Amino acid sequence: MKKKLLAGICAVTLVGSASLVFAGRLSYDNGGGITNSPHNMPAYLQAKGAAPETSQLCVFCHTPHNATGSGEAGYNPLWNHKMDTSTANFIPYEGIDVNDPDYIAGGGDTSFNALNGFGAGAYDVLKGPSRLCMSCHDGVTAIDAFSSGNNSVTLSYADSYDKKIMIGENISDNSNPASSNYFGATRDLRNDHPIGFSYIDVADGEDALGMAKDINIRNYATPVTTWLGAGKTSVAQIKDVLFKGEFLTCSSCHDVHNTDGTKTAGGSFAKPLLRVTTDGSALCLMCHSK
Amino acid sequence: MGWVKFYGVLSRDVCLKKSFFVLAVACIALSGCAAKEARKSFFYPKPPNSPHLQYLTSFSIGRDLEGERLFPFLHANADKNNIIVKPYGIAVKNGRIYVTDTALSRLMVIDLNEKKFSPVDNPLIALRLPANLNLDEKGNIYVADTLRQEIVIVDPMLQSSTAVGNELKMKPTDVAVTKDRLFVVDNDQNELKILDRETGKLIKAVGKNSDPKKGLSLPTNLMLDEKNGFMYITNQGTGKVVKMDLDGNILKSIGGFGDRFGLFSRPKGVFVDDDGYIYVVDAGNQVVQIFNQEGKILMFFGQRGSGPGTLDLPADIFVTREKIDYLDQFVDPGFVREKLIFITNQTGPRKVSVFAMGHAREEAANSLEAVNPQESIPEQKKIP
Ligand code: HEC
Ligand code: HEC
Ligand code: HEC
Ligand code: HEC
Repeated sequence: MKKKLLAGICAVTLVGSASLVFAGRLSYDNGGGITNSPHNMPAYLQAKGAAPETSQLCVFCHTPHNATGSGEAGYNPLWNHKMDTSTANFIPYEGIDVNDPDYIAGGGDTSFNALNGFGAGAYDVLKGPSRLCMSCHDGVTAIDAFSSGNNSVTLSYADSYDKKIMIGENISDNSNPASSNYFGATRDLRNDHPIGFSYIDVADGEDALGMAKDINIRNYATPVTTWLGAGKTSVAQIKDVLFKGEFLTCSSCHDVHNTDGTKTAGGSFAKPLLRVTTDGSALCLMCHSK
Repeated sequence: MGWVKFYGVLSRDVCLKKSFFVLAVACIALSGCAAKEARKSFFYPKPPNSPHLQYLTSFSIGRDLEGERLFPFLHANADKNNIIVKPYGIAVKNGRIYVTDTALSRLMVIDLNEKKFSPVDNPLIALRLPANLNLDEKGNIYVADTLRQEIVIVDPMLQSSTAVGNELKMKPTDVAVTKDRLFVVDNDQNELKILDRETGKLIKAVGKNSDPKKGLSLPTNLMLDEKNGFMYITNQGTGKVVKMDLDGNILKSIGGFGDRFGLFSRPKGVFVDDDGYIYVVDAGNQVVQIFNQEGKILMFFGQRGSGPGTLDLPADIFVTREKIDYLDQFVDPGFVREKLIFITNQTGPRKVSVFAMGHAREEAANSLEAVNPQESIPEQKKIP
């Protein structure tokens, strides 16, 4: 297993040199807050020659919630005139709740599910804040650092495309089909990490991902202060980085508020916006016990 | 395609065995009408409003179109490759849906007349990160490839390709074609670049302005209304859709960041149909909103989830009046289809969703048993 984790880190490191097109424009300080991070969208826009309309940093991720009373009359859809407009805000980002019958398996569309290979275990991979990340990190607006597919296990269509969202896609050598890093040829995705599933189920020994399990996952209540360094209080246990205390999301590894960087062990930088440095595999060892 | 084997449908086939028999029996016994009876129609807007839109169907894998196989092993290889993983751009012509797949770096052609998925794996058409695409009058396919940093032009027979615009160092995300020009969105430079269609040479660039009220701001998708001389462009930087003249002057803008009607959080695909209705896809709110030329919202449709009528990170949209026979079977007998709407979803089980726009049949207006999926979705807490 150790070997596998190391391989993962190597591959992940390669991504850093990804494509020039997507190379972050802004140099930033780790731990410098959003102002001092690539998510300072006003600064990002300025760097590209378009002045921002707002100097606010938060609106890009925390969509302003418009009070129902504040809606202009003109906002009420002409064809939905019989609608109860008091409850009519869109509900951005949130994934489907664990118990929500709407997601795939419970969707009630049984012939569709059967045809597409979605069985009882299907779930929303982008649960929690991950859908928010992917709305920008779609490969068009911002770097698309994930893909789907996995060559280490045999997965069904539904498994490989909808249970696993991958990170750090290695597209550094896509020009050369002979290269093992070629995106299309071998889909070498050792660097990818599944998200959206219940950490607790996995730590309890359940086979949540339907794959051979040879990974030692720590109990979700394990204190993590030793990795995060002194003075860090917002994350005390592993479960504090899990959505609703349970689900692994992009935010389990990334701190987009860029608050804690400089406090990581050894004072080394934990770019890109990681909660814990990757030095000595500290990030991985937060959850994996070997 | 060596890698295809990693998408093994093996375990899937095993788990499908049971349902396979059930389906086979159903097909023989009820020959097709079973599906019709079981189907509920999903309309927008929500009743008691009269329906303007019906969800029809979705496509993700070849078998969505071809149906379950009686002898799956005969088709194993094709089935493994006939998949869409992460679609972005979409265009429809003559019953064919053209979709880019950013994860598999290729084009997929779904032929609804032939009932066939045709992945374009031709090495002479090596796309890398294909975003939006558009067709010209002859059926040539223009693809904005953000990693190749150029517009790739694929011939209608899908045999070969050429490319233009590489020397401009763009990050092209969308392209539209006129008789003698190419209109290209350069997401990186916040510009709309107008190229000569023959030579690919830059004629002029418009839209760059340090005043956000006058220029583009992280533009992604473009709709060119050539006849009337307008362009509609979505902007991630302002959360707005702007209507511009061909010189890049903003005539009107719709939206801004928010979660109410008429506002967006991640406006992407935009389309203007022949009635002048403006459709805007929002990947943040998982909806499409429809506006009239005054910028007034007419209705919205779509919602988060995985059931019929849901959208999941929707990206691009295409609207057409084309008649596609295959889709007629999904139209509710009480509903009259006027236009067809095609939408790509970057994730979830429905990669290409198809809706019909139209109206209730006069005599059936009251008897439509409309079901709106919105009702079954509990309110959820948002990120503060
Ligand atoms: C298991 C931990 C983990 C999870 C979960 C995770 N990431 Fe990452 N991510 C990393 C690491 C480690 C790197 C650093 C790669 C490097 O430096 O080479 C990284 C790098 C990135 C980068 C920068 C890539 C580059 O080339 O600069 C982006 C963007 C990113 N992740 C986005 C996401 C998104 C979006 C998600 C959720 C879909 C996500 N990550 C989930 C660990 C994670
Ligand atoms: C790049 C996207 C992004 C930006 C920009 C952003 N946030 Fe967040 N915010 C998130 C996500 C994702 C969460 C939930 C998960 C987490 O805590 O990482 C969150 C959670 C929060 C919370 C809940 C408490 C917590 O830490 O879990 C607060 C408060 C908050 N954000 C405030 C802000 C403020 C204030 C700004 C602007 C200065 C801001 N955020 C900008 C993505 C963002
Ligand atoms: C408003 C759009 C937007 C959203 C939402 C967003 N990002 Fe980003 N992100 C960007 C942009 C723009 C960059 C700069 C790099 C680029 O050009 O692609 C970036 C860069 C990054 C990087 C690379 C940092 C580095 O050191 O290079 C990481 C990691 C990342 N984002 C993670 C996330 C995660 C995790 C989320 C969800 C919580 C998220 N982002 C949500 C726009 C966004
Ligand atoms: C927030 C906790 C957490 C962190 C941090 C984390 N992991 Fe994981 N990882 C998990 C869980 C939980 C699983 C699922 C294990 C299972 O189902 O068997 C997993 C699965 C994996 C897998 C198996 C995936 C597959 O497709 O076979 C690999 C490889 C992996 N992690 C590598 C890493 C690496 C490398 C890092 C550091 C960059 C890392 N992990 C960081 C929690 C974490």
